[in-house]
Amino acid sequence: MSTHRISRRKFVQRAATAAAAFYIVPRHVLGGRGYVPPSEVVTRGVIGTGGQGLSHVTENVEGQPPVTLAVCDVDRKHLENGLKRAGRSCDGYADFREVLERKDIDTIHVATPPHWHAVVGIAAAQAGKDVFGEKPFARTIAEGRALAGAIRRYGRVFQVNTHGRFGNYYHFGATKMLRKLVDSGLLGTPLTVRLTAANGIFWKVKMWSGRTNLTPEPVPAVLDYDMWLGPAPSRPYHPHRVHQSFRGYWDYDGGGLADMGQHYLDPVQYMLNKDDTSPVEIEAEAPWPQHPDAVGMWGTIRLKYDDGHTLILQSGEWGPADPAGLPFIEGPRGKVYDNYRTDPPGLFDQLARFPDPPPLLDFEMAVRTRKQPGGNADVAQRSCALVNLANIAIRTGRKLRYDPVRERFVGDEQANLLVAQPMRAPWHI
Amino acid sequence: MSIGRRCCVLPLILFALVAGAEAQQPSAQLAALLAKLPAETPAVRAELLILGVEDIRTLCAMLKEPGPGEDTQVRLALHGLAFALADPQRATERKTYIDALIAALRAAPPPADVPFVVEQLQLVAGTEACETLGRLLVPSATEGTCDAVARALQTIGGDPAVAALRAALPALSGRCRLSVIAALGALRDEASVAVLLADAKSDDRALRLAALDALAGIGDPRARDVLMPAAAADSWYERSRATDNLLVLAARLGAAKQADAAASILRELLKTRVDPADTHVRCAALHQLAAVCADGAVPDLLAALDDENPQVRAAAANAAAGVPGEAVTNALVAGFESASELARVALLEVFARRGDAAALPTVIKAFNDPIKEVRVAAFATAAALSGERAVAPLLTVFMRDDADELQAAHTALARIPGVEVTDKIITLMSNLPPRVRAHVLGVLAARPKPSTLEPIFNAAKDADAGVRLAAIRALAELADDASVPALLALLRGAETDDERTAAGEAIAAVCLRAADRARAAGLVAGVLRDAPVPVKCALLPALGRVGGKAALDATLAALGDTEPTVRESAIRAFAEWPDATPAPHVLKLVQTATDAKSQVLTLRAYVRMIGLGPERPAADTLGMCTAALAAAQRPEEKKLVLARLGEVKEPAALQLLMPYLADEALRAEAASAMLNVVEALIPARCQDARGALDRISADQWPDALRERADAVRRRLERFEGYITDWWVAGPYTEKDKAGHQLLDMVLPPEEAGAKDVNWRKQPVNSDPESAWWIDLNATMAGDHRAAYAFTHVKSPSAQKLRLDLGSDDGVKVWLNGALVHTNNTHRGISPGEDKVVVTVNEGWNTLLIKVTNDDGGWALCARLRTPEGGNPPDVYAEAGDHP
Repeated sequence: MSTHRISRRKFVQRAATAAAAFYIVPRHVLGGRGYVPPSEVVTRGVIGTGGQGLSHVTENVEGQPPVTLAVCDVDRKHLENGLKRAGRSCDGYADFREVLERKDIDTIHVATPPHWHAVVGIAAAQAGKDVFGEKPFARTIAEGRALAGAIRRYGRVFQVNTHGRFGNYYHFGATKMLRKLVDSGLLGTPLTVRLTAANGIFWKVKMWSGRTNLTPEPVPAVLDYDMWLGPAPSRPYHPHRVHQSFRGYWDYDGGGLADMGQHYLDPVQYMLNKDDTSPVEIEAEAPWPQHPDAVGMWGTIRLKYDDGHTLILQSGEWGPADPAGLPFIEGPRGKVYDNYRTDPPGLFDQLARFPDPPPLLDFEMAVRTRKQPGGNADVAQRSCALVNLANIAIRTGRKLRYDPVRERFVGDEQANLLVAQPMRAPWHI
Repeated sequence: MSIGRRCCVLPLILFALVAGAEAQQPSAQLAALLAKLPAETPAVRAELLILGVEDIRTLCAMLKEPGPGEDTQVRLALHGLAFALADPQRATERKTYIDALIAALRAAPPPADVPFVVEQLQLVAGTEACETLGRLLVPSATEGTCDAVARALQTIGGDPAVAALRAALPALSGRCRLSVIAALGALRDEASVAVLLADAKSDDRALRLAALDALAGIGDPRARDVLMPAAAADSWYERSRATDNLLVLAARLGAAKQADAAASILRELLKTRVDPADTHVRCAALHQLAAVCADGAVPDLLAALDDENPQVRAAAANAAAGVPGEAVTNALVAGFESASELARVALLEVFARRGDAAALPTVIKAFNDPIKEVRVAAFATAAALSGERAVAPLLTVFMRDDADELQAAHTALARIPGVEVTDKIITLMSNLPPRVRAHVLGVLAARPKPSTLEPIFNAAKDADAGVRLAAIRALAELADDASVPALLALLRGAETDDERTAAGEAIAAVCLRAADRARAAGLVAGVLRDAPVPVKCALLPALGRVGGKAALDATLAALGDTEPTVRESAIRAFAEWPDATPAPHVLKLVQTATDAKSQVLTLRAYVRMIGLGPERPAADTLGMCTAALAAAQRPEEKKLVLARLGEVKEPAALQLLMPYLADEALRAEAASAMLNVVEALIPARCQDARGALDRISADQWPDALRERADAVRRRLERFEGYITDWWVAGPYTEKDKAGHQLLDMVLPPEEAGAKDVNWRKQPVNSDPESAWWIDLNATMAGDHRAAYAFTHVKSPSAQKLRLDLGSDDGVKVWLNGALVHTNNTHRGISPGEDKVVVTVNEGWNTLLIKVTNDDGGWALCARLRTPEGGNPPDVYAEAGDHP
């Protein structure tokens, strides 16, 4: 054995746990010059302070160390709202690159529309920041893989802003318990999971549909439209294309499926223990053809994993829909309904003897301990891929086969063009 | 030109004009097809696929510039074709389509939306489109066209695409130049390197950064000379970006079999970026080094596993785990012996993650490492690496004494998946010493159920007491209700009190899991009457945990047993009852108890039952609490009851608690319970909460609770007093107007004397927690609309008041017809976000509020306070008559 010995106390202080990929890190080690000890707050810069972004802005309370040191938005009104919400000790910026210059900011909250998520997240990782990103993780599968790669390469912490895997999964039960139930084998295999309107899942399809034939309007003086577009193709301005309703346009997002999909699907990936893979077959029932610019309607989407587990997504807003009363999870040996109801009854009562899945860290604890949080970039990439795969099936109008390892479609190079889409210069991943 | 020639040419021109005009009109067949889009069935796809070149050209000519013209169906058709023609069996139709689009781009005039046509070619065309696309890259091209063409050529790829981009570059500047540079970089055009090296020195920041990105992407070694200085830029953003480009360059060089050049860049970064602020760079460099050099990077990784910086150590571990190949595993294994203790722990985790069984001998050897942390890590790795093969070595660990090692071995064995592993463990168990078998039985309790429980039942009759106990505990986890008779037999045959207790717990656990719990409990209750005393004392707690009629009958009967220990066991059984069914019986026991111990036991059981039954009416719960308080003799039990009262969200609970504020021994618990009740009443019943708080003077709060009382008071002040009685009118929408654009539009409810305004009463939110705001989505949901809320406010005098408002989204307020507040905002509902000082008249005042919605939630909250924020006396709101 080695002759390189260190004192036991020092060893224990420095030792990693068997499961940890990261180590406990004193804050001053992380930050160097001017950085503060671990008892201080984790500071943030928020990129995007319209709509959902404003909720990322923490008020800097008098008498306590400030948390939000910078807010950034390409819309001056949104920026003003962000500054107002933060209160004291917060600077405003119109260009996120200036926020990344700040050495005193630990984390970047990315609350831009999805077409910016990868670019800003990657730049933040390059600048040594940890990232808390809005869902969907990325607009395309390739952007997501590039973002996850940057986070991993630079050893950063990333958390996607969806928390279903941490707590209760809507009206069905605690996500951890659902995961244990699946792991226990009591339901048998393969499983079918129904995320349908009949089961109370609201996909917001019509709500986030785009409009066609928009008449261009003058760009409002408060908006830097070129920076708003960023990596998206250059299109004439119309208010429906920006600020919340951007969700209805393929250039920026993917409709209700992309808005809600990661909330619904990320915990399901976790329940099924599929965090490191993706389905291999995808098909969609939707009107055809889809519009090249405006996101439209869809009815049912089926995603099937290589072991036969199948997810059925159903909007209830187009095409035929399942009746109410079908199980949420169904296997050959058992079914799960809402509020822990099972068939046969009492399946959850049998779970005490099974080991719990590893505990999930939240973002702030992950930043402090340098361990990966529950919704980290790798798992977020996979759950977001479900959304992107579904949208590609809708847009191409055909059944697709997917290779989860290469993250490319099999035998369909055109569909692969939607996996990886070149960006508008000078932006790229 | 001669007149004669003009005469000949003129008809031709006219013909072309007419032909052009006619080409924009679809044929009847095409028009009918367009009218079907989008379709709900796949049949229309077949119709689209047979469109000829003229129809496709007509479609292109029918495109309109983005604007009011309707061309949705045209775009659907062209876009749908682009996807449908990806079918390999449609090569002929695809060529027709591509030729038609190319011809359209070459035609004069070109389509009204060139980028759209280009984007369809991007989806389906090959290099045949490159020349035409390249021709569009001219200095006069719009930014949209340049961007679309560059992206399309980048997607198509190949020499013709690169040639087209490269040919266009010299004449281009600005955004167009950036687009082409980005595409050339993505296509890795080495022939562009010289031009890019020049652009990399430009004063134009955007051009400079784009050129550096492209050079890195191409992977030419000359890029290092411009990237290194760029990575030392003053701007942290530029520095970060250039550093990332160095990593990209290294990756490219590595892929081009220039590993030494790549490694040189990466080792330079490792050596120079030692500032803690650059930790992430070192992490990335390690990651890249491993990817480029594989086993050649192992010495760097081993050194980094000993770095002072834990992030660097973690990155090295991740990098070592991620590089595939047996050569890397062998190199890491070779370095294991000479690594530090810290590095050895990390390496063991790396071996587990690599999953390469070549490391197994080293891992097994590490079971005997002099450092415990290494040994513990080795157990987990062995289990992860070799599954079933790790079972025998791990079982030997149970011969050790160290608690951490035993726990680690336990965890490792429990996590190896598979019923066959469980069966193997059972098979090996029989030949092991008793202390090991006891541990193994603990492992089995945490594993998937074995094929048969017989070996475990046999172990429950082992000669060794520790083994018997462990086996019984394992059966508690593994047995099902079919085993209840066997478990009862075990209980009867148990030799020690511990075994009897464990057997009782096992029976309870099995009954609780049973599909027919009543039947299982009945089996147990059936043997109780004639069982020996020790068995009764073990079964009664089990019945208590299971509950149900059979258990209750048996327990009540046991209260009359001649043996005091049995009677006590029966009393204790109520302490674990799963519901409050026995409560009346338990209360009787409380009231008739003849000794202090029984009184306390039964009272505690009763108080526990008060907390079971969330569906019980509050009045009944309060009655139970009253009875318990009357029976309680000691402060300890009274405190428990007071805590229960704190869980009842009713003002009546406060009345019961109030007298105890004067009892020094109980004051703290009573005050805490009162705060719980008051807090639960906010925001649904603010008036009741206010009434309670106002009855308690500040000095009645214990010191320890004063701060909490203040916090509750502040919370009450935040939510109380919001108006819930409103008339509402709406929704009002205007074509192509967003919600925020409606705020300043005068709509009927704002107009004096407006008629035909449909005023109706707004329902109060059904969720009491949301009682303080009104939900406009509840009655008129939708985006981009406005609504109005109207009420009357009575004031005893003319005075200044503060109007506290919250809105989702924009809000406008008129008091007595005068505009007093406007806020065109986009936000969620939050109480008191806007505060406006207004002047009300004596008597009745009118309050009209306009709320716009852009999207999502749509809500309003409003209340009146004194200018200092207090509750203005005798000021109240009533909807009264609508305008």
